[in-house]
Amino acid sequence: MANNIFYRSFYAMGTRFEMVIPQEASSRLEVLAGRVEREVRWWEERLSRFRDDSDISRINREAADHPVTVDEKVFAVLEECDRYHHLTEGLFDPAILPLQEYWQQEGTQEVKEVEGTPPHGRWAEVVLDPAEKRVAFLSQGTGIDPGGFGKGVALREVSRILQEEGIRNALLSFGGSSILALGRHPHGPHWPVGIPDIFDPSRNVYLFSLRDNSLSTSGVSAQRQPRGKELYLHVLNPLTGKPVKGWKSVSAQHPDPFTAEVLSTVFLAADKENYNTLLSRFPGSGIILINYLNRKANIVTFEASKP
Amino acid sequence: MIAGSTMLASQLSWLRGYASGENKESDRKARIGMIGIGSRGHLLYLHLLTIPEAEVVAVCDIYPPHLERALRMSEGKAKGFRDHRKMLDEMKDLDAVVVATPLHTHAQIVIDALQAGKKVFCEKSMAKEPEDALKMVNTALETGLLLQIGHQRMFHPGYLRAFELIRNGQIGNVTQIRAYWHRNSDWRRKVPAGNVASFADPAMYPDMEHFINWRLYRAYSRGLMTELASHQMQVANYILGHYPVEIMGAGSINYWNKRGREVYDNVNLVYAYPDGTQVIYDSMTSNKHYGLEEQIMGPKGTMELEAGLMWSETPPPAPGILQLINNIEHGIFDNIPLGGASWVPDTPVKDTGTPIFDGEIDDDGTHLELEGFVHAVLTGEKYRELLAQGYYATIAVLLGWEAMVSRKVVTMPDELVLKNI
Repeated sequence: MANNIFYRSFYAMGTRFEMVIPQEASSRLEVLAGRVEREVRWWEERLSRFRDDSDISRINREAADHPVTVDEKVFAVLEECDRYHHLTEGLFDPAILPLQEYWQQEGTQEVKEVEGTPPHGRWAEVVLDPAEKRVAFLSQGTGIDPGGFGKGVALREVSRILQEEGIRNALLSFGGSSILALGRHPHGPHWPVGIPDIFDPSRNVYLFSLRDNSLSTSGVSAQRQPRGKELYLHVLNPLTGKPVKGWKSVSAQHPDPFTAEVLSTVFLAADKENYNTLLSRFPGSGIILINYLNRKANIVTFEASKP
Repeated sequence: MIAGSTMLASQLSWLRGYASGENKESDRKARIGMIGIGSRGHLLYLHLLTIPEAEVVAVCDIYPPHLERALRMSEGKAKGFRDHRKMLDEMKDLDAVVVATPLHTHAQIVIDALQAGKKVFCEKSMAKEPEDALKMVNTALETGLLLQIGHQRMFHPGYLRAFELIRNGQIGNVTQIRAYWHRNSDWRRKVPAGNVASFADPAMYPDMEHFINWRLYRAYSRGLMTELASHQMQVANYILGHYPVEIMGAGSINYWNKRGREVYDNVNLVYAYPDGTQVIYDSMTSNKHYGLEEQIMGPKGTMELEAGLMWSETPPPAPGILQLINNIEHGIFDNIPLGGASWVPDTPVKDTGTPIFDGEIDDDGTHLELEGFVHAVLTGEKYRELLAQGYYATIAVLLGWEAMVSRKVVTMPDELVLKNI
């Protein structure tokens, strides 16, 4: 690797974290990289559903029986989730674990769609107690999936660390789906990041010019089933309890990585008529919607007013 | 032939002449006698039938059904024998023999064959007692004849590529090897009706059960150690470039404890090497979930040789990021394909690894090792380094057995260290 680029990567939160700092490697950057990795792991340990002792696992296991005290920073994140839940009129709903389980259970999607009554998002069942930093569920069968915000939270904290350490230019990526761009590319005015065509990844269908900005991409893809049927499981609409259909993806740009992640999920499920209302509530955001029809990308862009 | 192994051949002495395709007497065939044509011997015979430079002209087995099967396969080209000594006496023009008899008979047969002037391929492990293995090596050295032990991984393209990558520092200095072989079966073969005294020495085999299931009894076998562990200890020794110097272990019969089994159904050992590296070995027969593997670990990466996969401690950048780094390096400001949905939500971390070897592999090395043997028979190659590999693999498993039986730490005795190879 060139000696004017510092690169670090590790696996966390179900994907690969990568960091490019256009500076010569130094012991200072080594120390910084260690701090970054510890920060990401700290959040993974607290948010992961796949660790029995994480705050989220404890909440999911016990909060219907008794209030669960969680870490102060985790509590602050849940309060933010609550704020976004209301701002998006329920389209952002981290309490979708029951829906995910419902659709993953035995039975064909077709039959379930016609006859089934899937649960809806259950964030309304989540009670936050700011004084004691406690979380309670009003009913059994509620569960939180941090899949839609964990990487954004971690990136935001990493961004804070980099800025504290005086790093002005850097590009960070969580598997490409969550990207944070600080400052600019060493040979240009910003970081040029393309969104590859899902059917032809060598081609970019859209180009972002990121500068002190973050980008989150969420998508729906279908698993092809026998007899030409398609099974959609990735993104569920918390208001209807049903999978979002079609081949599409949303990329959301926002200075805050957490907010960008919330927006990419929300716009995937939102109805067209709500786009402008939603956008007006998130100043400084930019959204592109890509619909794949007959494997061709159709792109719609939205931009909110500057904050 | 081993594709793309030219570079390897310069490092691995037994492949040197072999990979270059050199065959000094290409119009002559190696005349081979098979001794022991049960399940493994039958398989070796099938391979030999497809090697044009080999000609099986004699087959020998004390067990009549096996002998009859081999004679049918030979279509009149091989002469049958019940006693290997008689075969060696009568077939003066044999170039070589292939020995695939039960473990406890290897030493005598191999020594007899070498002393009769025959080159020998003998299945692993070499012997049931370390002293017998040493005698076999010494006889090969005294007679100046080829003795090749059946460690097919030394001919397997995937393993050879792994050895090369390890030597080149791909995973750094190897700091630990874990190897295991797990099965879920009692290892018993169905015992056919028959009177063992009609074909074998009743003092050696009291009944058909002992004759057929010899791997389960201490008089004939060291069980999992000699039948399975030897393959993996050979690989470990080769990678670490030494034999183990200290061994500790524990074994027991904790599941298959009925019907008179005498060898352990689970073995667990730690092998210490002079540079401070340890090999952790276990084999069991009551759970097959983990299967078999050799995991080679170093500060820069990991290899799983049976799966043929490797992992880096610091994996290379994702394609988009790599492009970005190259751009920065070359002063280029251009867009990179990077933003994409991770199609799977919050799932556990998975890095599925990178293949060690790119080519196709349709052989576990057995065919190639026999081709190598035939080649050596015809060219006069002796593969002494390979013999040392076979020897130390056998010594490692036998000392492992001793450590478990004695419940003591066993040290490699100086008298078992080869002085001439």
